[in-house]
Amino acid sequence: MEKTLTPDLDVAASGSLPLFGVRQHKPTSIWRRFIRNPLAIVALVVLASLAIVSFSAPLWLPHDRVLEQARGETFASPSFSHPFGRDEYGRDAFARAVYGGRLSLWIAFSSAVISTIIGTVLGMTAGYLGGWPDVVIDRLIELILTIPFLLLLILAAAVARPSATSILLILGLFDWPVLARIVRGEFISLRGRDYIEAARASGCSHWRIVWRHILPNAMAPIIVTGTLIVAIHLTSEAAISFLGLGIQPPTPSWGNLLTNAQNYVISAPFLAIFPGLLILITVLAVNLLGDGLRDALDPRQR
Amino acid sequence: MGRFIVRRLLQAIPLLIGISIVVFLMIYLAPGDASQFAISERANEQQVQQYRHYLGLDLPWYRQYLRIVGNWGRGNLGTSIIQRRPVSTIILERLPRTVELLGLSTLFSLLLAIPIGIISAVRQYSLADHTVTVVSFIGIAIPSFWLAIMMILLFSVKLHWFPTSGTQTIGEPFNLVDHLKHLVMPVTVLTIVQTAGWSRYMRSSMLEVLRQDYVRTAHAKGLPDRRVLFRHAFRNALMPIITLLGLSLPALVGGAIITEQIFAWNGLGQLIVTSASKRDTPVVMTMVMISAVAIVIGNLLADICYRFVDPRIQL
Repeated sequence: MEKTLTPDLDVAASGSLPLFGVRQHKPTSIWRRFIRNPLAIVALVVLASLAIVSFSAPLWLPHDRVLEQARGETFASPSFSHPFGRDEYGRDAFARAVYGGRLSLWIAFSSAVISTIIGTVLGMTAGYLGGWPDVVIDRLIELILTIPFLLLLILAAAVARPSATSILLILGLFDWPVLARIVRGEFISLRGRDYIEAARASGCSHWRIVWRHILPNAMAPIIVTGTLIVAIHLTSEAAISFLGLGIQPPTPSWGNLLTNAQNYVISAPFLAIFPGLLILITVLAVNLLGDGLRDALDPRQR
Repeated sequence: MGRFIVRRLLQAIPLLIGISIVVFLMIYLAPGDASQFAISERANEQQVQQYRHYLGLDLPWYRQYLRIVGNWGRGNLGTSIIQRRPVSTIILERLPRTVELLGLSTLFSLLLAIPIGIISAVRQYSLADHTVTVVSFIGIAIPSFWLAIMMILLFSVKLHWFPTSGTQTIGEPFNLVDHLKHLVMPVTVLTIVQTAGWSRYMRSSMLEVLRQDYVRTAHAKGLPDRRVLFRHAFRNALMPIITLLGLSLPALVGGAIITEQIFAWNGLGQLIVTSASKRDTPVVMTMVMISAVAIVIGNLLADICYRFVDPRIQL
């Protein structure tokens, strides 16, 4: 078998044939497919603007505005100087939404990165090695999927006052099983392909096979699922705050702004409408971006 | 088939034991225990200790654990520390509330999501498909409790069509029409959120199936479109929906926590929130175990359904 492969490998190395397992789609064609999708472009622009506005906030919007109270102007309706109105302490709802978004976006994004890394590594290990590592990781996935997430949050809140770090760690450390299952499935289907057989026959180490030959081909579902995890974590942060287990006031997050606004929904509905719309728009944009990436990275999977 | 079911159930035993230990330890290791929530705040240190001793909360963790599991072995779910009533009574009292909420919303979601998914797959890129896509993306992105707040604002506060919360008007005897009025908004919220997600799954699996060779063969041998669609494609396209349905069975136990909370719907979701925050170990552990069993059974039922929809699958 090795004998018949050798000449091919030589040709491949000289560059006249595509290398085994090297990414099939050139980055330029991925980009070209991506920019053909107007919705995905809009989503990217929306997300980029939201990120820029909220992360550059300290440069143009003094943080004091978040906590500054104006007793005489509680529940003032939206106006030119205070576009989102004022809350029950007369605080500027716009400043609170901007700084709240900063925290919510940071939590959702960084926890999604943690989940994606853990899910990918464990899914790779289970899918590539099979055997007992697969059994162990599979059982771990089942275990984590069975533990009610809420229980974890309630008990964690008893250990320490919920903070951005504790929430992002809990989300990150416990929300990887779905991704791990997807990656595992990809690796199981890819590890049996002929080109992997060829790579192994030509003396590639396991590391090299995993990193250079399988992982690049499994990137599409990883990126897409990772994007969707960001969206899920954004809504999770809001839901967690709704149960009183999220970021604690007076520090704003989109979730707790919304929770707080619920109490005044009759007298000041605008307090609930703006943070809700911001979450809606952001999650919508992340999902559309994920969809666009899926089409661009893997045109067969539609 | 029988052997397959028995094997799967046996395989689930280690998972169930593992879950019970993990959940017990999580509650045990969190600071504080149920005694501090169950006893009057004025109780002195000695009284608290006595009460903890009475409840067995001063025993080493494995003895406390074995006591609970031992009770289960004898068919006894134990007694709630906070409510001082049998766990089985408490759960049975709330189960119907959650079943009607989730049952109705799941039924409506299926009735909406399947046809919507099929239409937008068959007429891919048509106006209908684009509309459905945009609407369902918004439905997926909308935070469920924000949707609930907005609905309360519109339908209860502004229009006075439906009551804001609860399962019936307080102080009045139970009356079906009144109960149904309370049911409308929570069911609608859950239905919107589920339909949005499920119709996407239905659309993409239908698209997948429509490209298969056997569908082309069916068309080629001259079968009418309608027959190809319903006899050949439809059943296979149901697979992902079946998985999702199987996965939603354990949700019955967790209830629709957020929705129940916002509409003050006293179902199982509310029960697990209050019990966990007061460290009511017997109630929490029972609920988690029921949910774990539901996961196992949900997955099993899904696998059995696959066999019915797609005869190529061997169990």
